[in-house]
Amino acid sequence: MRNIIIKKLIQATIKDPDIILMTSDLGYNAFEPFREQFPKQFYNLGVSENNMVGVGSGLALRGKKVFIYSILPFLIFRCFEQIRNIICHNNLNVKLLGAGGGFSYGNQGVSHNTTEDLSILRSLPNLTIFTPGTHIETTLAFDIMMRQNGPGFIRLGKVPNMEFHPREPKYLLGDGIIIKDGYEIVIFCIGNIIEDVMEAANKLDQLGLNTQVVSFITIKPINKDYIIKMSKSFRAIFTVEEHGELGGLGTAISEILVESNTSNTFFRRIGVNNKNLLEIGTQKYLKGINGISQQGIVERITSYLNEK
Amino acid sequence: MQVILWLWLEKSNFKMHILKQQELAKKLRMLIADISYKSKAHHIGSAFSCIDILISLYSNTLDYNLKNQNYDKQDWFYLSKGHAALALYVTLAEFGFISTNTIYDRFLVNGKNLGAHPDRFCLPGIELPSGSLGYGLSIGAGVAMAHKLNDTNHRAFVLLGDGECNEGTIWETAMFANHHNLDNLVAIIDYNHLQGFGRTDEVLDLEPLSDKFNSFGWSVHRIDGHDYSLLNATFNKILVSKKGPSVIIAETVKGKGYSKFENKLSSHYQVLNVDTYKDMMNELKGEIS
Repeated sequence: MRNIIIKKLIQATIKDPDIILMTSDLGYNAFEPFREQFPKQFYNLGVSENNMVGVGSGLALRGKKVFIYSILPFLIFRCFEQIRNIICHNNLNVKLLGAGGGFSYGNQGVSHNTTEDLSILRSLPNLTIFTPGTHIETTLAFDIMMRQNGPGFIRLGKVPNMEFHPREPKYLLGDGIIIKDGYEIVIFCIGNIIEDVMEAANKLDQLGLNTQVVSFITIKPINKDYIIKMSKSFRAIFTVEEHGELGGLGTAISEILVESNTSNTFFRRIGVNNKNLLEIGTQKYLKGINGISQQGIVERITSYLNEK
Repeated sequence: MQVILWLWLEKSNFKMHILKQQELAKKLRMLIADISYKSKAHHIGSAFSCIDILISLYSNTLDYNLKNQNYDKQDWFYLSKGHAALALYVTLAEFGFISTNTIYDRFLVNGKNLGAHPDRFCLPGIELPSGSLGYGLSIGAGVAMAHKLNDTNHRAFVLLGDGECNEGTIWETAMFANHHNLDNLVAIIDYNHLQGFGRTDEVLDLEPLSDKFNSFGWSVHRIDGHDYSLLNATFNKILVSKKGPSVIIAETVKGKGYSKFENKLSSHYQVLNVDTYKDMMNELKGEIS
């Protein structure tokens, strides 16, 4: 995803002298082309995320379009107060590029992986939160973010080998995009878990549960009417995310369903449990032990439906 | 060099005479006392500590334009020690940004927008909120950098508290500003030697503070932060001698102007009762003659 963003950013920067890309000493093997082409619009601030977010805010205050990159937890958790007080409160044109949502950093450990970021970011006003899953979704997210004059955040994971959109879909900000038709149950998902979800959906089809899959490019804003309307067409709704069950997509959808007063559709969240993760492993392994691999998704959906 | 300085002084805004600045300081301290009493505000000691710095900045130093909301074409000032908000509010009123009545109407009043810490655009001349310490200098570095990229000569001034310099981000920015040669960035430290819950040398000693900034590549000016001749001269000196970022370590007295508040930690927290208020006003008034 990072390489897609940097390619798009280079294209945009050719036409826009106000774009500035900042990194806190990360981006090896990715940002070199940008640095070479636009040496005066690229800043490596050293290992100092707080200073980077402050300097970026000052630049944005004076009309620069600032892209700030770091490993997601370093950028979001360490700098959260600045993002709240300065960037979001003042609606500054700062774009936060957080690398490695979910278990993307695999065996790099707890410092690099994150399943709590969306919970806290959703609470901030003015912030658009992009959660693309595929190549096309990433370019779409970038294009929308570029058009917005205000704060944005992209959760950068790994793009699956397969593209699930046949072409760039028609898209309204906040809506989901149907990537697999079905009529019995529906799975809402975000980010690169899309690959596991699609495999799970095909398996569920084989088990006789015809499954629709809908991907959300943004978790905020999220279109209430779209979700309520869709909920009425299925006998069960599930959310799947490489994120904690507390505060992410599942929470966002459940808030809408509960408050709609019209939806009696069965609903369950599928995400990571709210407990310390003490094991290391690859992204695939970590998804497996947290019940969000293809197999975990199938098992949880069938067992939830059995208890219904 | 002297010719350049003279030309610059001729061209620059009206420079206020020192005696007038001192009179103004008394007037604004009384205004701070009066508003604080009426609105039951804290942080009087902090406001008294830095009011002379603010007056010198707004009367002698900053290039600003009241009629132009395009802040790109002006010097930028940020009160990073946001708890001294009232000192900034009365200064902005004195220099024509707002009327004094605006402060009486809005300060700590439900439904209005002048809080104990400044909020974004709560008044003309205040673009960002402050109140959480430690990152004002980094924002100032960003503004200074943007001014350079936008080819303007304008500068960024950031007023920091001494306790605020405990924060690590200050020192990240100290490294950064020198590395990028931000000679249009000026930090001012209101060094009254009292922080939130004790003396700075007892809580977390900043010394040797001048050496620290020196070793980070900053031009350091350590002066009496209540002496207008020194404040004005130092600000003017910084304007003409461009050598990396500058810091003015202003030695100040917390609660300056009211003897019972001077050098007292309690002046950070104490709300004025009627007796203290009258006593304070009498002492502040008495100094005018």
